[in-house]
Amino acid sequence: MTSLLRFCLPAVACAGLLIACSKQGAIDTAALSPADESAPVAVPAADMPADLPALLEQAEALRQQAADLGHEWSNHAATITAAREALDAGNSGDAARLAPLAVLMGEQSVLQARTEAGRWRAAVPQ
Amino acid sequence: MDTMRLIVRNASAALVLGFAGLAAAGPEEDRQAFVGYFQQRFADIPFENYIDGAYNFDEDARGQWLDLEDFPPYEFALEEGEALFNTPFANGGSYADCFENGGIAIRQNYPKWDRENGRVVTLELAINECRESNGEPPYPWQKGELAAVSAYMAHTSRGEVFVIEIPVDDPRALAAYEEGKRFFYTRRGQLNMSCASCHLDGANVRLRAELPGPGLGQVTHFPVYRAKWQELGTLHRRYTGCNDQVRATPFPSQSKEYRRLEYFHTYMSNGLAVNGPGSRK
Repeated sequence: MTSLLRFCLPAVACAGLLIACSKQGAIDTAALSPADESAPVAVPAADMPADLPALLEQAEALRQQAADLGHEWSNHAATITAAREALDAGNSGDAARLAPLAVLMGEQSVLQARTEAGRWRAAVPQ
Repeated sequence: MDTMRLIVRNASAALVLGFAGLAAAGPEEDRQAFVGYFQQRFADIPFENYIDGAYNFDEDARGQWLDLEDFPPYEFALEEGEALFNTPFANGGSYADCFENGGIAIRQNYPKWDRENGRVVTLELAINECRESNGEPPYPWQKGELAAVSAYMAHTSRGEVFVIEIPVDDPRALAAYEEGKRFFYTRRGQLNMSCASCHLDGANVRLRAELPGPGLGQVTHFPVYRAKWQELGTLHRRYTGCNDQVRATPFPSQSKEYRRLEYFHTYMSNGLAVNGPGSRK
C-alpha cells in the first residue's frame, strides 16, 4: 500500500494542479497533445490573449530553463513550434489555445525540477 | 518537567543520529537496502534469479523466453561481434590490446572509475575510445557494430559476478555515483515518473500489458535483443527509450548523466552474474 501511495500521489497532485489551472482559465487540459488537434478553433476576440508572441517567448525561455535543469519535457518544443506556426498562419484560435499551454508546460517542468531536487531522497529505500 | 526535558533531549538525539545515519549511508548501504527492498517484496525469488528480470514474475512469459533462448535472436549479432573483435585494426592493433585480460571476461568490471580523467567509463565508451586510439572511427552508440562487439565481450564474461568499484579515496567517484543515484530516483517528463517509479515501486505492477522488471539485475543482460527493436541495443538506448516514454527529453547516449546513472544502476547489481547478451520483449 505504501508503494502504491508513493507511486500514485505525485501523479494525482500533478493532475490536480493541471485541473486547478484549467479552472482558472489558464489552459485547455484537453489539448495536451497538440499534434492531434489540427482542427482550427474559433476564439472570440475578447477571449484572445493580448500578446501571443510574448507568451511564446516566455514559453521558450521556460523550456530552456527546464533543459538547463535536465527536466525538459519531450513534447514541449513541439508545442511551442505548433503555436508559433499557428500564429504565423493566422490561425489565431489554435495559437491562443497552444501558447498558454506551452507556458504552463514550461512552468510545470521547471517546478518539477525544483520539487524533485528536494524530494528524490525520500524515494530511496532505507 | 524533567520527563518532558528527557523526551525532548532523546528526540533531538534521535534526529541527530538519524540525519547522521542518512549522511553516512554509502554505496554499500544503499545496495543492501536496494536488495533488501526486493527481497522483502518478492521473498520467493532467490537473489541470483534477479538476472532474469520480469521473467521471474510471469510463468507463461518465462516459458516463451526460455524456448526462444534455444535459438537466441542475438546469435548472428554475437557472431558478428566476435568477428569484429578479432579483426585487427588498419594499424595492426586490436581490441585485445586496449583491455585487461585481452578483453575477455571483463564485462563485470564495467562501468569503472577513470581516476586520471575523473569520469565514469562504460564498456561501450571504452570500445569506441579503443577504436579512436587506433585510428578507427567510433561506432554509433546505440546499436549495430558497437552493440555486437559489446555483446561478444559480455558473452565471454557470462557467469562472472559484477564487482563495480567506487574508490573511497577519490571523492569524485562517490559524487558521480551520487549523481547517478539522484537520476534514478528523480521524476522527469510530463508523466512525472522516475526510473524507480517503474523499476522499484512499479516492479511487477501492471502497466497496460507490461510488467516492469525489478531494477535489481536489470543491467546484467545488456546489450539486449528486444523484439520491439528486432536487433541488439545498448543500455543507453534503453535509457533513451525510458526517458522518451515518460515524455522527458532524453540525454545523449554516453552523456555524463547516463554514464553516472549506469554507474549507480550497475553497482546496485553487484554480486549478480553477467548473463548478456539477453533477449527481451
